Order: sequence, then structure tokens, then C-alpha cells
Amino acid sequence: MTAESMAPAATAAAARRRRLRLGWNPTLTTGVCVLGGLVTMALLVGGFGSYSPQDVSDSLLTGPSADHWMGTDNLGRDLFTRTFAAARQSLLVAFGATTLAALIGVPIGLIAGYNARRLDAVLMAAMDTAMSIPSVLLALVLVSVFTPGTGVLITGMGLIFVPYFARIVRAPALTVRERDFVSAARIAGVRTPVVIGRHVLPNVMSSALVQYANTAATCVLVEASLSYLGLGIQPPTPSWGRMIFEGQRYMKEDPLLVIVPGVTLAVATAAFGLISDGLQERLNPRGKRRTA
Amino acid sequence: MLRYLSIRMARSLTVVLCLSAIVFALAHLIPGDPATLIAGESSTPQLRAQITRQLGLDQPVWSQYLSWIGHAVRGDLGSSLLDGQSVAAQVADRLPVSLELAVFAAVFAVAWGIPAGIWSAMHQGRANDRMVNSAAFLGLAVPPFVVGTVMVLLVSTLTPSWPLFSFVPFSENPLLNLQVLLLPAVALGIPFGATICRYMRAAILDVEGQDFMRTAAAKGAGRRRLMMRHALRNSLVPVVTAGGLQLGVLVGGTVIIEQVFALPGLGSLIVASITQHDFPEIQGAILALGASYVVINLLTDLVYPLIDPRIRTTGARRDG
Repeated sequence: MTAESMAPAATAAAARRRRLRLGWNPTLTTGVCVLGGLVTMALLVGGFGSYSPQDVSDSLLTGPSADHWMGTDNLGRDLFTRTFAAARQSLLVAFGATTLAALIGVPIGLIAGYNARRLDAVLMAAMDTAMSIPSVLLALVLVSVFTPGTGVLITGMGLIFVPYFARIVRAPALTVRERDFVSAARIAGVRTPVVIGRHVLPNVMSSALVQYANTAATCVLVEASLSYLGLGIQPPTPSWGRMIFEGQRYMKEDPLLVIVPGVTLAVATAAFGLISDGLQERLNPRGKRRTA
Repeated sequence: MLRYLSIRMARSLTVVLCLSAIVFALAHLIPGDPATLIAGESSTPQLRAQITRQLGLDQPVWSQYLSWIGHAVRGDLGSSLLDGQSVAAQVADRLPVSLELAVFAAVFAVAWGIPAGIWSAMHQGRANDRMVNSAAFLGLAVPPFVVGTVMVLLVSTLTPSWPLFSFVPFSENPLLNLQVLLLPAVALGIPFGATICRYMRAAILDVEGQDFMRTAAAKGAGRRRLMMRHALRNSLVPVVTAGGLQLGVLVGGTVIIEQVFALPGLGSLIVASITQHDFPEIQGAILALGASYVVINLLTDLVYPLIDPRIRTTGARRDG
């Protein structure tokens, strides 16, 4: 190989390395753009659309037209409007529940990881036990006691996913604890909460962020599943799960009734999935991936 | 080995006890008096007091729990509020359907997930790899009940003779039974297989960089032998761990898929009893489904020592 042909290869490799470190990350960018688009649509259609998601009309199951871009359902409601009004509910539950889970789970993980020994053992045993029960079962227990709705879904799923954040944050907290800068802060007399907040927390943020995207995707799926069963968001508030359930009976006449909410639901989970994968690519360029 | 087993058993037992406590607390969290719920609003106070005594609701909570769990262990889960039928009998009737569905789905998932993961790792970075990766990604993004619904639509239009919504027990007609369960199992196995595929790929790529792989290659082992004998076995531990964790998602998925395909499993019993507020039945069915999940998980724990001999001696599980 001559010197001339090696030079561009070296610069290309350097550029690739720089890209990996600095940002241009197609997976992450795509995920963020898709999610951003979905949020925008949810806000626009839910807020300023020409139909309300509950508006019934005489034109039933029309199929796509200029008036109704994706047609109407069996009650003459606009499918396009309903799909994005449902996006609002779904994203509200996903962000709400995940944020709640992170707000409780991250501190638990930090405390467990930082204190190690006995408190760690107790906390993690509790988290492991909670994680050993399938989350859908826990959600079912919850909706069987409380009247299902957006608020119950957010609180319930938020609590169910606490252990996942605690677990994911604990491992890096445990290693950071042994690092010199943490010992230095401790020796300098910095109080424990400040050490945890200022020195440990920033080092576990990346793991927590990946978990945030994963949990949000799971929340979208669990909410849709529960709503499909009639145990999630209650009609007349639109939800993808319930729309699919209601559309099933008419899907031979108009398959869009199932396909449109189904595809939008998949796009939402895929967007969170892309964000999670993209974040991991950046954190761990070797291409190791984790799901769930 | 014995130590490993006893740790795993103790853990499973704790989980079942916790689940039973949660399920038990359920009945006490419902707003309102259970006796009124059973006897109806218009019942006499005497009748309600009698029911309260019969159900032991006048006892302290912990002794109620002990008596409930004592009965549950002996196979008595109470009786349905609606028709007075034994909950245990209902559960025993429906559990096999859910288990068969879950096992069928898991078999399908492993059957496509592991080869796809290996194949993808062997072609890392090339078009094949990217294709498998995108397929797995899509499989994870589309929920099983959407896949199931679309399947129902396609099958009912293309091959109207395919048996849909008509469950037949395995003992009656094995062939028809498998045919009925095929679509639900595939719908459920797609995301599960996608998870397995992604972990398998990552694990193989992880193992490929290790010294013993280079040694084996230097000794002249062929590509196939290298993959099958050296890489596969060493990469299975994280895959089994991930698969075990995902089994919970699979069990949760059966609840929804049973509803899509109208299968008479535990999931549809749970959903029906929740909509009818039949608490003994909700408790019994959720406890049974949760307990069977724990047992399945215990069985996957038993797989570890078979894959990794180090676990047999130390009793510790090397995760990930």
C-alpha cells in the first residue's frame, strides 16, 4: 500500500472516530426526530385539528378522503384525529410513568450502590423480588382494584418500573464509589448527599438515560395492551389499544382502522428503541446492545 | 451445586410469597365491604355479619392471610363470587392452555432467534447482518396483539378454512390443537425471538474477540466448528439470562394474546374476572400465573449449571 492511499483511509477513520464521540449518530438522530414529530402531531391534532376525537358524524367507515385523511370509524369519528389524540395519552403515560420511576428508582440505586454492604443487599433483594413478578401481572392487580385511567396508569406503572432504574444505576454507582475523586471529596469533608449528587450522579446518568428510553417504550406497549383489554385508558378518551380492539370487528371493511393505530404505536416504540440503541452506541461503540 | 440449587429455590419461594401477599392485599384494597359485595346492597345486616364471620373477615389481617395461604397451598383458592364455582378447578382447567401457548411461543422464539443471532454475528456489518438487525428491531417494536390482529385479518381473508377462535385441547385432537395455537404462538414468539436474536448476536461478537477463540482458530478449527463448539456454548449464558428475564414479558403477553385469539387460558380468565370484579377468581388466577412463571424461571436457572460448569462448583451466577 502506498503512502497516498493510506492517508485518506486514516483521515476517514479519524473522522469516523470523531463522529462516534461527538455526536452525529444517525440512530439517535432518527429516533429523536421521529419522537419529536409524533409529539408535535399529538399536540397539533389534539389541540387545533378541525375535528375533535369524539366528534361523531354520518359518514361511517368511509376510507381515506379529502375530508377524512384516513377515513372514519364505525361511529363516523375521524381516524386521523383519533390516532394522534391517542398518541397524546400514550406519550403522557409513557413520559409520566417513566419520569416517576426514574425519580424514585435512581435515588434508590444511588443509595444502594454508594452505601454498599448491608443496605445495598436489603434494597437490591427487594428490587429483585419485585422484578421477578411480571410487570403486566402487577399492572393487572392494580387496575383490578382502582378504576383504570390515565392517572392510575401513570402512578401504577411508575411504581412498577422503579426497580429497573434502581438496578441499572446501582452498578456504575458501585464502581464510581471506589474512584479517587469520590474518596477525595469524602476526605475533604463533603457531606454524603452532596458527594452522591455532585460526583456519583453524573456518572450514572448515561445508564439511567438508556433505561429511560427502554422503560418509556415498555410503558407505551403496556398501556396499549391494557387499553386493548379494556383495562387501560377508558373510552371515550381515545387510545391505540382500544382503537385496535374496536376496529377489529370492522377490519374486513376497513383494515385501516387497525393498521393506522397499530403502525403509529409501532412507530412510537420504535422511536424510543432507536433512541436507546443510539445512546448505547455512543456510550459503548463496540456495538453491545441491551434490550428490555 | 446443592448450594446453588438451594439459593435459587429460596429466592423463588420468596417471590411467590411476596406475590401472594400482594394478591391478598388486593381484596383489602377494594373500596367497600366484601360482605356487601357478595351479598348485595339490599342484604340484611345479619346476613352480612354471617358472611363476614364465614370468610374470617373479623379476624386480624395476618391470621386471615395465613389461613388464605394455608388453603391456597392445599389447592383451595376459594370460590367465584358470581357462580360459586371452585376457583382452583377453573385455574386447573385453564392453566394448561396458557402454559402450552407460552412453551410453543418460546420454542418458536428460540428456533428463529438463536440461528438468526448467530448468522447475523457471522456476517457482522454486512447487508445480511443489517437485515436481521432491522427485522429484530421491528419485531420488538410491533406489539404481539397488533401482529395477532393483522394475522387474524390476513388468515380470515386468504384461507377462510383455517381454524380461528375455536380451541381444541391437545388430548382431543393434537394436530388441530397445534394448528389453532400456531398463530398465537408466532405472534407471541416474534418479539421474544427478537430479544434472543439481539443478545445472541452481541454475545457471539463478545466471545469472538477472546483469546481461546484465536487459539482454536490457530489450531485449525474450521469456521463452523469454531462457532458451534467454542463460541456458541460460551455465549449462551448471557442469552439464557436475558431470555429468563424476558419470560415475564412472555407470560404477560399470553394474557393479551389469549384475548386476541379467544383462547380459554388463564389470561382470559383474569381479564373476565377483573371486568366482573370477581375477586377470589382474580386472586387465584393471578397467583397461579405468577407462580407458574416463577417455576419456569427456576427451571431456566437449572439450565445454567448445564451450560457453565463453573456455576456447579461456586454456586455463583455469572451474569452478562
